Amino acid sequence: MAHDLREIGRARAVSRVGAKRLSAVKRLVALLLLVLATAAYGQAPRADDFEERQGRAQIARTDAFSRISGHLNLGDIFAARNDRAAAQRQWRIAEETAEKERRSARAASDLSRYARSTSYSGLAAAKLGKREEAHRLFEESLRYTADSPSAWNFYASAMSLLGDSGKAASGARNAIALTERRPDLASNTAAHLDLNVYRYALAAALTAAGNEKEAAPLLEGIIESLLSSRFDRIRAQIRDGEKFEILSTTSADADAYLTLLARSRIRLAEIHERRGEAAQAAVLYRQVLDQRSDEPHALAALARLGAGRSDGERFADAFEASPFSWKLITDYRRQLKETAVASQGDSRGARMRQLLERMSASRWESAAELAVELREENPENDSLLALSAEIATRLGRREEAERFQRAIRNGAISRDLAALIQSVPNDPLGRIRSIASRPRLESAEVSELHVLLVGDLSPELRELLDSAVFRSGVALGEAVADEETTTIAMARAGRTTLRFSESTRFRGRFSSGEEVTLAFRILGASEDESGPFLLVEPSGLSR
Amino acid sequence: MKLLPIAFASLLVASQASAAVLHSAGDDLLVAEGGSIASFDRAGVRRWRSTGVASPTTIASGRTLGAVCDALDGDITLFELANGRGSTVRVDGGPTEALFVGDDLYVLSSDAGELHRIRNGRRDANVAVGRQPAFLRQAEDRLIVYSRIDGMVRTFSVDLRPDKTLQLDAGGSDLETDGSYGYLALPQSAAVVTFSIETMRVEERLAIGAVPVDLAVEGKRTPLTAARLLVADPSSKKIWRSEGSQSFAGAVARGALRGALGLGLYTPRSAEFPTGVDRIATAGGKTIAFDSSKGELFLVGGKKSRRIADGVRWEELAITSEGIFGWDRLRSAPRRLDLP
Repeated sequence: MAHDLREIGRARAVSRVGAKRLSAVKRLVALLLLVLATAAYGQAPRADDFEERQGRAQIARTDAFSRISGHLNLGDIFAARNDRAAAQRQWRIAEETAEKERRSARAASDLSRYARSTSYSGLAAAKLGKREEAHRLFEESLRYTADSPSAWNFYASAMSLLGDSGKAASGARNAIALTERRPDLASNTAAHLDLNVYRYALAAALTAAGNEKEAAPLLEGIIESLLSSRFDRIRAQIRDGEKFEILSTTSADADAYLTLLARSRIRLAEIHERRGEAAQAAVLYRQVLDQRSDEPHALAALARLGAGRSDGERFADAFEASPFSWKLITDYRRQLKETAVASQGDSRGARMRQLLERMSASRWESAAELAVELREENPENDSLLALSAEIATRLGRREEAERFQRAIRNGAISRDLAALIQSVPNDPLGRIRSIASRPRLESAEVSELHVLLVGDLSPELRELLDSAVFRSGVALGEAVADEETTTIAMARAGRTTLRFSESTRFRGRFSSGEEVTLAFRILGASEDESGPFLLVEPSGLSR
Repeated sequence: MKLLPIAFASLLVASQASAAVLHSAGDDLLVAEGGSIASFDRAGVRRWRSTGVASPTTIASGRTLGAVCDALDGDITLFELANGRGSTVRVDGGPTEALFVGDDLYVLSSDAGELHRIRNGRRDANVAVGRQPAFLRQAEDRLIVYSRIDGMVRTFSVDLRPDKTLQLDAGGSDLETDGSYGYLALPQSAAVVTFSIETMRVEERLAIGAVPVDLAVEGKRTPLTAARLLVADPSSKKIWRSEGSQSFAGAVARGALRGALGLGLYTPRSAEFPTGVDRIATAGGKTIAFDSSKGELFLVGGKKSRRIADGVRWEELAITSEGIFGWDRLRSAPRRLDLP
């Protein structure tokens, strides 16, 4: 066989002085992906600014990979807070830094560094939604690292972010297969931790693909493995070091252990929730809170499940931990439909609850004032922008609503908002005519009238209100009766107050709280501290 | 060093845009862009344009048919080479590699670990080929597939009957064949493994360079020469060139012939580059090397290399016996690179 042995001999010499052989992918990459994978599943919110400080500390370090990780993680933290614009700024910086690192590594003939920075570039591209670019970069990176479990896990995380759960699952299975083949697996705790990280990535991808039947046993296996005696040493480290944080990026096994255990429990609990197994879900959420008392997913979930403490307390805790979580906001609004609440306090979480309570009570103008205040503190927050858009729509300020809507970066929030705005009638005049034509209104229709009439009224609308007489079932307010008449100042239709333009004396004896049919004309709609009200001129009362 | 006055510099600026994919098919150049496939003649004149896949990643051509694959979405558009008329087939898991045998299309589904045959516009057979198959090659009447995760090389008949297997290392970055031997690049272990396709046995495991990542087989086997193997090593900034594998009897015979002709043993030279080239291709006596991190393209000649273009993408190049063609984004047409 005739090979150019002289050249190959030289190659080895070159290898010693300039060219560098590939080295193993660092474990940091594996642990980093743990959280990147979780970011994909549910925009993990953050309880406080601890993680943000950690991210900024990473950026302050000198080595490029710490800086790239720091920017990626800060982006994740901002995204979790639904501050999409700030998130994208961080991810773009990460992308640019990784690109510089790629070029520098190639110039230095350091292909290990090149492959690693290419993976980071791909991940940043995935976070920025650049699908083809991310694929191209991972294809390039995997040319050099296809036998590395960490590299496949990196790929799986990026594919999850891009919504390609099939490729994500395939990448995670590759990582698992390569790790299970390690000859030292039985005696290597770190390798077992990595294996559980990859199993978690697979469970995440399977869940996203709707395959919870395979995902649930995987998650149970991860939890069982993490709680086994194999990890005694890491648990001792955690106790001794009083570790409690759940980090975004870490090279420490203890941090990875904590994060993985919490995320696995949460994801498994969510599966139980979807199956209607609330008690099993609650147990897992409580175990997460035993580990970290302000874990926002678990707090929000327990509030949603109505387990343990009062609803108000649970939601208060959850909002303190994660004031802008869209899922929490949605859950709380659902809760408010059943029970009116008036929260106190001036923390960010308390004011967010107050905002939602005002919206739920159709107090749109006061909600708008509070939204302005919150937006000044968090100008690019997508949740606030969406709520502001809804409020503006309810107040008939379409242009303002569209401006807020355009500024939203989070696709899911944007879709929710679009559906909500579509449900608000474009033709309030026609809708009011339609309501007015009904012989007797339900309380929901009275509430809708308030929504339609709050804000400025057009001349056409005023003309319609002047002529329209509405009839609705109401509960009378304080009724002062003499022998033949009863004087009344207000009534309630559901949660909407009908405030009379002046106290009115009706023929007959009526009592406070009595349910009757009231005929009235509407003079206007407004709200005050007691809630939304229609100002009406009553024209008749009957049982 | 002279750079060609071709408008490729603009392509670098547009490097974030979706790439086109070029492929040479007989006298035609096929170009796939997002949503379309087109055929051009060698002068860059378009013959036809048709609907393609959303994110083209690979093109293959057969006797009368062509196929453009979308490894991201799993779609394949099959079309007639003459007029572009075609249909779409779906292969879940990403059709990452494709080749025709006659007008039967074979595609690898990497995520599913399957090799599919598509005949008459329909998937008509498939076979499991191991986890994350990466390369699909043909050697006479055999198909060769390598799995990057389990490191297994598998051969199949064209009707997808499993033939033989060979356990090699995981993580190979390229697999090529000269028809008799297979060559697998292993960048992590800085080696190229040579194996016989007939016996499916390892012939040699050769340490080459620092990070051998891409391979090309140059020339044809003749009684006087074995095919030559080119190995791109971006870490050493070199293309290693060695003779490909040959049987012992073949080596003796060639040595005897050379001795008789007074040629001596052939010792091909390796080429050096100012930058780390990681792609290599050869056709029609021309060899090009490419640095995908910079988009720089080199013409390889003996020990010397010449930079002939920059700002290009590898998938936007087609090397043919009539020259090297690139995609001119400004003109939306392929363009022949004038070589020095």
